[in-house]
Amino acid sequence: MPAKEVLISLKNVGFTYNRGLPTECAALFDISLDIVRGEIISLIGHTGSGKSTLIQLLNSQRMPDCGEIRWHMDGVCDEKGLPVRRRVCAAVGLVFQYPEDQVFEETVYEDIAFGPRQMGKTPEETEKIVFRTAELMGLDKQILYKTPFELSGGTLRKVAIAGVLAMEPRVLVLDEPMAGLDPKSCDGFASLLLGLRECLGLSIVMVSHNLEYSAALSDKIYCMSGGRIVLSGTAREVFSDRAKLDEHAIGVIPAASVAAELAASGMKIEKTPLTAEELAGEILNNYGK
Amino acid sequence: MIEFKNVSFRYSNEEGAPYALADISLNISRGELAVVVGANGSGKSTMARLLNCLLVPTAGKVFIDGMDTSADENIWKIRKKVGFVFQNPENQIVGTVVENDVAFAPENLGLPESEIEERVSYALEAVGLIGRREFMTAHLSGGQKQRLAIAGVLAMKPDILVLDEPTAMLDARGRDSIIRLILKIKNELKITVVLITHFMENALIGDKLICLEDGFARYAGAPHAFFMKGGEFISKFNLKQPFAYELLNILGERGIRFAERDYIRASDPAQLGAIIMGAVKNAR
Repeated sequence: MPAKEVLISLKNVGFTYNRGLPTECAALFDISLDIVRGEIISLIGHTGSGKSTLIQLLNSQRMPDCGEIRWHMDGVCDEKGLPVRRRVCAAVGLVFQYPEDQVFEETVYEDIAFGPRQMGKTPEETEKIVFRTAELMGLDKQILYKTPFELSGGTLRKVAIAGVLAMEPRVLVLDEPMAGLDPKSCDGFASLLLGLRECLGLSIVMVSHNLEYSAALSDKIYCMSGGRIVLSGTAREVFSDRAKLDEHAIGVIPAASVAAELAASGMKIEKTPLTAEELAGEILNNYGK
Repeated sequence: MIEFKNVSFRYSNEEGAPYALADISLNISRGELAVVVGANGSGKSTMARLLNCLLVPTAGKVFIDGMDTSADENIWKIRKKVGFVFQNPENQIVGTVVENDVAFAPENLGLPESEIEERVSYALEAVGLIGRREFMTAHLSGGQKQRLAIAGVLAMKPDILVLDEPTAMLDARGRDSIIRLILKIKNELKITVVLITHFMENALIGDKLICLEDGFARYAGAPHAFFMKGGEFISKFNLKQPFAYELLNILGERGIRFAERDYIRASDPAQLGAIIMGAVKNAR
């Protein structure tokens, strides 16, 4: 297996809002993590735990006031090794929770073309990028000439992501990508994310309250509470640690919590299940079939 | 309390324009909690907007407490009866201080000061924010903001509360607090509730479940009976089974059968472990 290619590394990072003012408010403490090429990671934790602040650090919208954050991607830093914010923002694409917040042009085409144009691409290059990105996102060519505001929520979200992908980022950061989508659209969206990782080798950082999707998609999950990472690991590792999840009000996934209950009643559970299918398997093992 | 009689609706009157709702007939009784589910674009929000005269049917009639929503003289009577809460509480909060925000609507009704005070306390008590009445609204968490938005509507003393995806933006804790509050509003305040949601676990709290597909009402009845029809049926509507039902259905296919009463009990996730332990014991 090839060595892991670290794209962004954070070491003991801390961040305080309004430093030195009476309204000073510490938001992050001692955060260390690596964003690895081609990995999907999820940040989970209840409202106010620091998830949104952390993703703002990833694309240099905010700089840490202690510790160190480094971007290891080509061309992002100047000759002194300092990050150039404009380049970081292009390399680390951020999609907000409400796609309508970041879609603003008159047609879908113009909206997707905005980023590449700002980066100085020629009209021909821009057109190529727009078509390629639209195809990648499964957006119909006809949609490109519509105004974004008559599209459904799910399609609008794809347009917003296409606008970010057109800047050819290495890391895609999504804040609550599933909010407001119906259950089947959520599934479609999940396979889309896996496809993007597959095709582009993107790293994906997801902030989500939907723990079942986080469990299904992520290579690694970081649980945050009070501005700290309190638990991290694979989905199975994280959702096995019931005590920590409860302590920090992070929530549980139903398969794991029912399994814990069954285990307490004397059933043998080999490994923490993450889905109904896996839990059914564990139950049937006890049943002697 | 709410009656749809052969209701159709389309946003444009041009020939060939699609119908957002097609020939819907159904009743929601006084005091009932009705949950509306369906894919994005299936007509849920259109249906909600027909309840307080934001929209009137293209064909057919909607009656609220016997009043026709398409008659001009009923509009304001109906809007006083039907309170609305939307997905994003930020759009619905007008005050900077919690109690002022809740007082906004009663003040605009021109009520005497003592009545306003009484209603503000009633609403904040109901949603559990009475201890935060002097807080800045900007300092509340997402779940608290949504509860505040609900308090603002309860202060109007509505007979019907319509909630359009009130938990879509919230974390698990916020979501639970809103669901508990909705049950309390139904059980203690005896308000008729219409809840639109994409969370299938929450669909189980309804007395009645309404499933829309492309503007048609494909199901109106007990939630457990809808989800008992199995995964294949449910996924036709772009929906998923609640976790408990998915599990019982998988086990059922593999030989551990559950009775209808098990499914009804499984509407309460806390019962699931006991139901399965019981089935496994019987099977041995």
